[in-house]
Amino acid sequence: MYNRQVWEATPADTPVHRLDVRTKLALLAAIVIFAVGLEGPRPLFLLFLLSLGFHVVARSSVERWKILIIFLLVGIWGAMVSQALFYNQEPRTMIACLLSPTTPWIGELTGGIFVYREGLEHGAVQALRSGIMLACGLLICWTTDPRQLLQCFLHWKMPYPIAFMLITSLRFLPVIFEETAIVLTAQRLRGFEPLRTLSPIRWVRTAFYVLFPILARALRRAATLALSVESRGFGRCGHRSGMAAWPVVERFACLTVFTGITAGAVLKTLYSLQFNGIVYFPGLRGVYDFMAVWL
Amino acid sequence: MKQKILTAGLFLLLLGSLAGLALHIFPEFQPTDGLSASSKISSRVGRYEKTAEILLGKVEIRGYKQMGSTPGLVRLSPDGARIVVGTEAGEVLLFDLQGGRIWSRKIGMGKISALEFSQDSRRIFVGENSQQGAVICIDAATGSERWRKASVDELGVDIRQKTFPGIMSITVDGVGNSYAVALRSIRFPNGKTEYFARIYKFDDQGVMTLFPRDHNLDVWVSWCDVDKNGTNLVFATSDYTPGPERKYKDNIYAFDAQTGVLRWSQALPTVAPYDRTNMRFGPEISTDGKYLGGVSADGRAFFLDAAGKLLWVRTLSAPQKIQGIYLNATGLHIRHVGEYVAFSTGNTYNRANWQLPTPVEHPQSNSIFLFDRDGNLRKRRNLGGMVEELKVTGSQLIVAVGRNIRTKDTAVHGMVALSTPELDIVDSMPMEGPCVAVAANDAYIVGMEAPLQMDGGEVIGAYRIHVWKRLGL
Repeated sequence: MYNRQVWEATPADTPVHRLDVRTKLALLAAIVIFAVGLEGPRPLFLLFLLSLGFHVVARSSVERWKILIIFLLVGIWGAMVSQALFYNQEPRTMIACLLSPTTPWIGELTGGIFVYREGLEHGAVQALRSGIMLACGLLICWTTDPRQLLQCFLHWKMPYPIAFMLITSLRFLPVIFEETAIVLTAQRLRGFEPLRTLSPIRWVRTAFYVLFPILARALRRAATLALSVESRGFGRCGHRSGMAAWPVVERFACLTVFTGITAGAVLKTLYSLQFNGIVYFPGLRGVYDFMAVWL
Repeated sequence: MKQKILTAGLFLLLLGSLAGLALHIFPEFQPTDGLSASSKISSRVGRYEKTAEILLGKVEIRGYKQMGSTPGLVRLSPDGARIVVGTEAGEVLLFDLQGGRIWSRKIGMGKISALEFSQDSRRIFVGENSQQGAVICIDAATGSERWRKASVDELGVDIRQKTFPGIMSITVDGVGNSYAVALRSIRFPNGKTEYFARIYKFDDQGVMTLFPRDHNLDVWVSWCDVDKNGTNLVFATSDYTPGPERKYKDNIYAFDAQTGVLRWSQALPTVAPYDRTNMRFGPEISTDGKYLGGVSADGRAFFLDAAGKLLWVRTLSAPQKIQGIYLNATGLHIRHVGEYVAFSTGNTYNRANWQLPTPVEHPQSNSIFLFDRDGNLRKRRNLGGMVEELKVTGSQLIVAVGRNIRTKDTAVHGMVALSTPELDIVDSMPMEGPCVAVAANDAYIVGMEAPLQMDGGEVIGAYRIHVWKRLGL
């Protein structure tokens, strides 16, 4: 996990790698909009499977799959458990009692701790949303050269400093992971084994021992980087190399997807209008039914 | 090696989590519990054998504090080969008698409120409560929609106040027609209520006739019955805020089902402390078409002839004043069974507020009463739980027994077959959760079970149907 090369984009010859960077970003934006706009668990689950399918097509390495799975599992189960315990909407169905309200002191204080079925479901939907965005975001990072991303942002008129900061953070994230591994190794060589004990005080001390060196190295690196970009004319206006033409097929595909998003937004708006009792069009009953069942 | 095992474990954990999520999100992929030959379950007496147990997906789990049972509808086709289920989630499912799913369809944003097979078993009529309150005719073989009629055209809708029209019940006659009762009610802040009701008749081609032809009924109507020949259409009325002048002031009406002409209407006497006689699930015409039976919400049974003459009235459960409040057991169902007529009562309720608990259980609650046509009580049987539905097969009564909100005795849940006129328990088919719907013919009994959350939090039962086959046929 701390291997820098796992986090950096690597070239490969897969359909995902061959896509124009503009296509990838546009589809990423589309998927994020779908993930946020869809409410039904069914389409969200299918979209989640699709995002995992992209990783299969991109032939992500086993190491990358491991990272992705860890993040996804933590997200899925974390969201489900937290929502299951703290769900406060009605209706809610208790499926397990972790702490009875009759337990002395803590039971009365908390009112009992229960696991709610609707909370599990709500947490699963939230987890699917974040899982989709995580999977697609990592796919972009792993299959796209950061220089291409920068070119694309500039081509789309994003302010140069913002684009630069964005790419730099992506570019140096693997470096930070590698340095974390180095710091932990150095601490271990000094006899420090933080995970040998369950003491929370020990864990807090571990955090300070690890974070301070990383922060110090990051600040030093930032200073070095600033000198480097200054010497290369950062912030000065000048001619920048243009991007290659966006393939027509890919551009058309993106246009189609965004047309679909627009249509979906219109349908969702219509559905919300009838749901809130503002306006209802009987001729659109089939559309409302489709929205209610599938989306 | 250790790394490989950890990696494999991670992948399996993800696949397992995704599989669990998928099964929960797509319940149609869950295996149906068709029972194997080695696991056949017998009824209590052994006259019936369970052939299938089918889960119906997720449903809101109710406890004793919520009014009413989990909604659900189940019907057996007249040819005895198919079971149709309407779920609380708005899905219509068709099964064979072994529990195999033939097709399913979601009706969209409406709530299923009525369900019935056509007499020839080729069509299924679904009633919904929605902005359009439609009757939907579905082809029983394919599950595709043939036609639909929205009652909003007659009853109107207020989407801001969410007063939607809905189909309250559907019935069929023996000559290919179907009849749907549509209702919309508006409750005003001053306590008054306005009603819009209509009865729709559809022939086998879907051609519609309205009752009344040119105006709405201005009272609550939730049920109608028609004789086998499709000539006599009867319905009863309710009005929960009497006072304003209603055009339809009487309690039972009979129309000529072919010409639409009003034949007669009958006003029924009231009983203190009620100021109106309300009848929600009646009347019902006897098989020979000569008599009508009805049961009112105040616990009285009525028996009339086909011309509308009131032959007798019997009190099934009389209101009792205890600790300053009136308690009663509401009258629910009426069924003609041969030369007899059966009535049922429900749970004890507090007349001042249905949702408040009652200090005692009414002695006549949750019971079946069997009378002969002369009004003589032949037998009464207390079933211990809510009579959710009552069906007749031959000379037997099949009863869906639900929850008892007073005693909270879960041992009564299930289906019971009663003989007539003795009302002896011929057999019983217990369930964990309350039985909320039943369908029956001479060979099969199908019951719908709902989950129930007990006061301590645990959930018993599940949302499923049980199919029982009679042995020895």
